[in-house]
Amino acid sequence: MHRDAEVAEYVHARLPWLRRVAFRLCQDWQRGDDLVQATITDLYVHWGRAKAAEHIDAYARTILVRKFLSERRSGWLRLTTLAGDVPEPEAPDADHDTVLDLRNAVAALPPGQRAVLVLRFYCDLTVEQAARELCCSEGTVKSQTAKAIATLRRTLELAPLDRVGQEERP
Amino acid sequence: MTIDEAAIRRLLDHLDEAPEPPSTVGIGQALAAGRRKLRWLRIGGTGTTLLAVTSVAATAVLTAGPAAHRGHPAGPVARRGHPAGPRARRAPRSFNPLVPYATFTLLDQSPSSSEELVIATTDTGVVNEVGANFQPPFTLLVASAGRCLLAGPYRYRYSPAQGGPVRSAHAFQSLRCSFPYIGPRRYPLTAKAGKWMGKAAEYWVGVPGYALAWQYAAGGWAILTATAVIPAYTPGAPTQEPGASARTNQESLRTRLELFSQYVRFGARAPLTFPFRLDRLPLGWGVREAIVRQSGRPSWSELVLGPRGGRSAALALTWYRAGPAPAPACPASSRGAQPVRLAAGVTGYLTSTASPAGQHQVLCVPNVGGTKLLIISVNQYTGSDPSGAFVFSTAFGVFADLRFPPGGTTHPLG
Repeated sequence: MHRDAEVAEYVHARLPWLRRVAFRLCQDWQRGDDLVQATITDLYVHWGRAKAAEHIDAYARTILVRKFLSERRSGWLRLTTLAGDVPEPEAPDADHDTVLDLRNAVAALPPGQRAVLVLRFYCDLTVEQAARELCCSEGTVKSQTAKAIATLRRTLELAPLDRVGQEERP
Repeated sequence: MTIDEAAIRRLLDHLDEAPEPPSTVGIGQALAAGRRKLRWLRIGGTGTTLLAVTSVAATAVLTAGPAAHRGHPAGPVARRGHPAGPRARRAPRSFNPLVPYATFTLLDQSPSSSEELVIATTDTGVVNEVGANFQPPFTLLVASAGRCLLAGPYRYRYSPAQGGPVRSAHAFQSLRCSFPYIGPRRYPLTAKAGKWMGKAAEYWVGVPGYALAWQYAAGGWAILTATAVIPAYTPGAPTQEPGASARTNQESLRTRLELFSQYVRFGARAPLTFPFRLDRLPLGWGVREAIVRQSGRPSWSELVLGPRGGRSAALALTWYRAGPAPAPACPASSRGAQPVRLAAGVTGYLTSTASPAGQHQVLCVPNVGGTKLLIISVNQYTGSDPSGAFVFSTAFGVFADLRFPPGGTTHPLG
């Protein structure tokens, strides 16, 4: 099958998942979608290697995470950040406060720590796998995880957490 | 409740409970950007293994080479350009994207083949891709003066086998280039091709020599790359010849690169023909890149427009032509397609998709310019221009200023 068709088929199938991971990294749907779009471009370029990889999803996720971190490191983000308000699509939410608390708490983390959290606790990677994906040592992943959890402890107030806990209790 | 790993998992999962807004990912735009990037990344080669000796059309051309040399005006007679020297002419500082500066005449030699030739021209470089049945496909880059410079030693990494261990090697010279879309690149010059070519300033690029670089004029470099490589002989492989060792494959590839390079013609040739003309563009805008597929199907072409001097593309007009063969009809009745009155009484059907990150319009025009169907899509490259709103408003205005000269035009911008 032609590269275009193969990549398009994969992307159409996995777009919701890519968007969710990107959203957790960026904490912003708009920026997350931009990140996904850039990821698709790179996936197209490296499709041969992606297909040869054990899991295409893992390959795509690696591109996504590294692109997120590299964009954060470069000055590009500052250049392209809009000064005005970007109209966020309305998302009817049963519990605005809780979601906002969580989003704010995670968004307050430095990008590296956020990436570690998303990889370890949302994508369920082991320390070793996360280290490989982030091109760093396992020790760095552990320390970044510990720092992120400590930061979240400080940031999150007890009330929102209780709210989350109560919602999940039967 | 304490914050531990389980709590973090619950927090992240909790975000799933919020409904997701509609996607604004422009998949088509991302794929188009990938195609564009790949075209430039192929220069200098990305493969790591050697070529097997299998060829259909290419072999025919190769065997026809000497005859063409004798009689055909487009034959491979001293068309390698002018080796740099005191009397050599200078390479242009910039190219006109609408008039390709270099092309393969290879296809002139094999008119029966169903090969495709894609020419992408920017002001700094021309990329020619010859694909489909050619084994291997070739990509030719011709860089304008000053885009590529000879540089010193370079340590690089390569993998001698697909997926194999990565090794490090040292080249005594390198070529330092800077291209649109991919930025600065450095290519190791692994051997001087002089012993094959008998000329100076010609080099094999990469490992184990699957590209040939030479100075076509003072200050200007051309790189011819075999873009698809397949492994040396492995038992049981159907398309390979027993005994085709890595060494013989490499020699075969080099011979082919050398011969193909003689079919390259430099200098401004026939300008590209476009089915439409844009009578009005914003002040300071011009053509960034013109991409034309000269043969092969489906036939598509692209004109990338943007502010002059800007680094990235802003708008891309891509068009498809359906010839006299049975062609699909314009989606006049599909959802969202609106009939629009164009210049000279032409009616088209416009479909618009507008979202913050994926804005594009598609105009379908039946029976215009000698074609059954012309489909033009306008895409905005997100993040490419700080004044995105202005760019997209321009895109909306583009169609109103389209003209369709009979037989096409070589001046697509009025």
